[in-house]
Amino acid sequence: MLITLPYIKRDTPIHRLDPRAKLLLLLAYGLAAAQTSNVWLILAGFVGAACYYALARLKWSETRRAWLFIIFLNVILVFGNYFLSGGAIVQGIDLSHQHQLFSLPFLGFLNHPPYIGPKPLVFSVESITYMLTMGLRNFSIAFLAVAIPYTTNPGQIGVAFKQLGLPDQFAYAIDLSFRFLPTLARDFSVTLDAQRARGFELDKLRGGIFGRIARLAPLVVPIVIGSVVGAEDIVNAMELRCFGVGRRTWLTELQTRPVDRLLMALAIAVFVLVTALNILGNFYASGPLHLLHEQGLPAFLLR
Amino acid sequence: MVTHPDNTRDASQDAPPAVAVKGLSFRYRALDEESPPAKKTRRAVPDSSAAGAEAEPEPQYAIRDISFSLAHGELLLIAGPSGCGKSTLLKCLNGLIPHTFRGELSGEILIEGRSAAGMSLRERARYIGTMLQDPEKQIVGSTVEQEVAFGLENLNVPRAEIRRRIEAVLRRLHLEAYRQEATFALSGGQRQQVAAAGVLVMQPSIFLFDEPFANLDARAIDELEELINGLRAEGRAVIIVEHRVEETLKLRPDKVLLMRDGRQVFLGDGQSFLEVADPEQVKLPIEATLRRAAEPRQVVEQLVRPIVTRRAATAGAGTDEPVLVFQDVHYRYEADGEEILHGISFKVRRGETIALLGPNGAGKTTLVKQALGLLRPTAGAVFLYGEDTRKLSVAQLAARIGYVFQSPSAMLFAPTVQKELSFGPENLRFPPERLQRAVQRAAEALDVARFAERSPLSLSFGQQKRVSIASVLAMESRILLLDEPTAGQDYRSYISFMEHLRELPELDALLFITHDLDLALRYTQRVLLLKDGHLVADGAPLEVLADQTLLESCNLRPTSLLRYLLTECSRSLA
Repeated sequence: MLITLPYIKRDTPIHRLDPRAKLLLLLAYGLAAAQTSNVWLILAGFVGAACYYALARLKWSETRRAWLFIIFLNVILVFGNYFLSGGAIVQGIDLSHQHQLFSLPFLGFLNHPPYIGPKPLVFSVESITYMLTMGLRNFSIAFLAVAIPYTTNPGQIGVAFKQLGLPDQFAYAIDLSFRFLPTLARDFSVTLDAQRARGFELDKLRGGIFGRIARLAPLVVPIVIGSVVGAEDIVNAMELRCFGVGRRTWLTELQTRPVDRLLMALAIAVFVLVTALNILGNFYASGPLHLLHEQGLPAFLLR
Repeated sequence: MVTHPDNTRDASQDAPPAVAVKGLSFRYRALDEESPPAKKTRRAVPDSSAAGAEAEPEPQYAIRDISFSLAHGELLLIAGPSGCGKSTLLKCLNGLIPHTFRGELSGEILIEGRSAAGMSLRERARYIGTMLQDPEKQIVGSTVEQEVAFGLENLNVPRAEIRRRIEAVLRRLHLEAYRQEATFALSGGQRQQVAAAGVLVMQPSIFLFDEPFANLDARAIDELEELINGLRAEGRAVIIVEHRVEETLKLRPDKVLLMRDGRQVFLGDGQSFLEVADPEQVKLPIEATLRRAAEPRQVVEQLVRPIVTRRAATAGAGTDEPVLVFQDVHYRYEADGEEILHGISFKVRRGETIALLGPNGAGKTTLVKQALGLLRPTAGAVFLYGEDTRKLSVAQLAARIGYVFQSPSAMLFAPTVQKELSFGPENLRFPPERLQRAVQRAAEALDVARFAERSPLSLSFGQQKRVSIASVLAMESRILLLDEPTAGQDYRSYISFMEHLRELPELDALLFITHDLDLALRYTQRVLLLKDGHLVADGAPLEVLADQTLLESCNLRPTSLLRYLLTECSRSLA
């Protein structure tokens, strides 16, 4: 089986949380964290998210694939950002007096033709700290996000979206995707086997990147066509049982407990607070409410 | 659409029939539309391969002038070859026509005495429940409970009421234990039961089944029969669309409607149906076929003719060396997982045609995949022409042994049939001349050369099936493994398909996985019977299948042909 649903049945505080609380927490935290580059605030968020994740008691062996992917993505994002911007894209931070440690010869964008040329890549206390902040922010969001599929019964995710106020059709589409994901995975492995039986070797694709993609046709075409044809049957099956004729009941009903409500209130409060600070601080590093827009580096590093 | 005055009801009965259809015709797409007919499902394309008719006559009715009526508690069988309009008729009844599929509809349908013309899907669902052909597509809930709740949720039924009704339906179908089970993991038979529960919970008075017997093993068929009989006993009208007539006739339908080219060619009871039906078109019980024949003995000889592969026939004696050997093959998917195959050994000799039989989940496909290296034995070995397959890659093995999967749509992808056939040989790096020759021979052997420049996706199911075999055969493998070669084909195309296999040149051995006992009896020399990962029998078809208790334990049920052959056998012995 190529894809199995990640949900692991267990009894932990995170498993018991209302799925709506988990989704809201992820959304609110993600939006709040995106608004600041203060290393202390992000560090606090990171520690909080790590504690939350620890409560879910997920083992490395269970989540290894997800994490390897996230680590890979994060490294690409953080270093990519750093190299592309020459270390200079720092949100709301004064780089006119950066504390440069060293610099490497590198390529960068110039403001005259040919616009790309040799430019030193500056490593300063500010830029390195910012790189770290970025990494921590991404990981803290990942902690909250990874916990959701592993601790939430897939049967409750559709209804959670419904009870968060999404329309029936959209919410049921989420349920449907959970229903048909394993089917798609099985179709994929059948087609892969069928083509391997015809001498097709996935690991020996020749040609450049476009050539390789073209050579995936034997896998992609049957699966796509099969899904499209199959979708018609599914639509018929749903219509014959009156899907979409009017308001629908959802058999499962989520009930919040005090802890869910507390968590949701907290998540929203953090988001509102950070946003308010951001707006009142005029979005840049000035005035008394500029907490979000400075890195908060300790003085001894800046000597 | 025709509206009707209320007095058109059948006056001879005091209660109106559950369904009455009068002069119903339907044609896909309206006149002003230019798009091609909405025949999207592959099964719906008529298999007119024999005539090769490409040009379609202008006003093409999918169904034309159909009339019947059905009382409560009655069973109607709608039979006919693929593309005869059965599925269209079903769509007219359950309301997908005109609700989802556009076209011209005329005539009238009365459901419980009310005209269906003005009914919304929601209203129709109160009367009519539909079981689609593939329960895999019908089931939209992730768990059994969600699936059964689906229809009632859509009708905005209060939660407590839904719970109560789910409870009742699950109890009725003995599914209580599966309530929280994931629907994906269910077996084929259970899936059908769960799909039925999802329809039954809406309490329709009329039940439609679209080819319910496809791909079920005997136990699942028994359960389905029990369900259908139960529905009738409760006074529900049941309509079954099926080309596996033999199975459905066991249910003693009150009426049979035979369709051909969209028209109704027969309507009457089961007995008189057997007298008019053409045994070449639909599969009848053997007694009915023999009764109609002038020379019964000849008919049986015609029917039972094991395939002897060509190469063996010409190679002559001295070729007793086995071509494929399974030596104590064990297999498990994961190191700590359950063992699926428990030490299987057998040898395949030149010229043999073998049927691999067994219940669903016995490990048949898992076993066959070992020969190709798609799965590798966890213990034991497979030898192909004396060579240990462990040393060879899948691609190398594929050059010697061909495996055709059950569903052609899982593998067909190329823009033309010609390219489809070349795909395998290209992967094996055939030089151009050999490639061309191999492709041409394969295309001729399966009679698909006529479609060489057409897209394989535009062909009928039976034609696609032949293309899929040709594209494996083009790799010049000498052993052919076929998974359910006849599934999804109507009787006539199934027979012509098997006759194509008989004529295949250059083969050493042929092995197919099947549920179909008649297929094994008619076309093979040897049967391997697999159960729970053990090889429980290996021998000539009649010898193996004579053992009643063995059949029972393997969920196989005797067909009329088997019973007839066995009595013939014991008579000639006596």
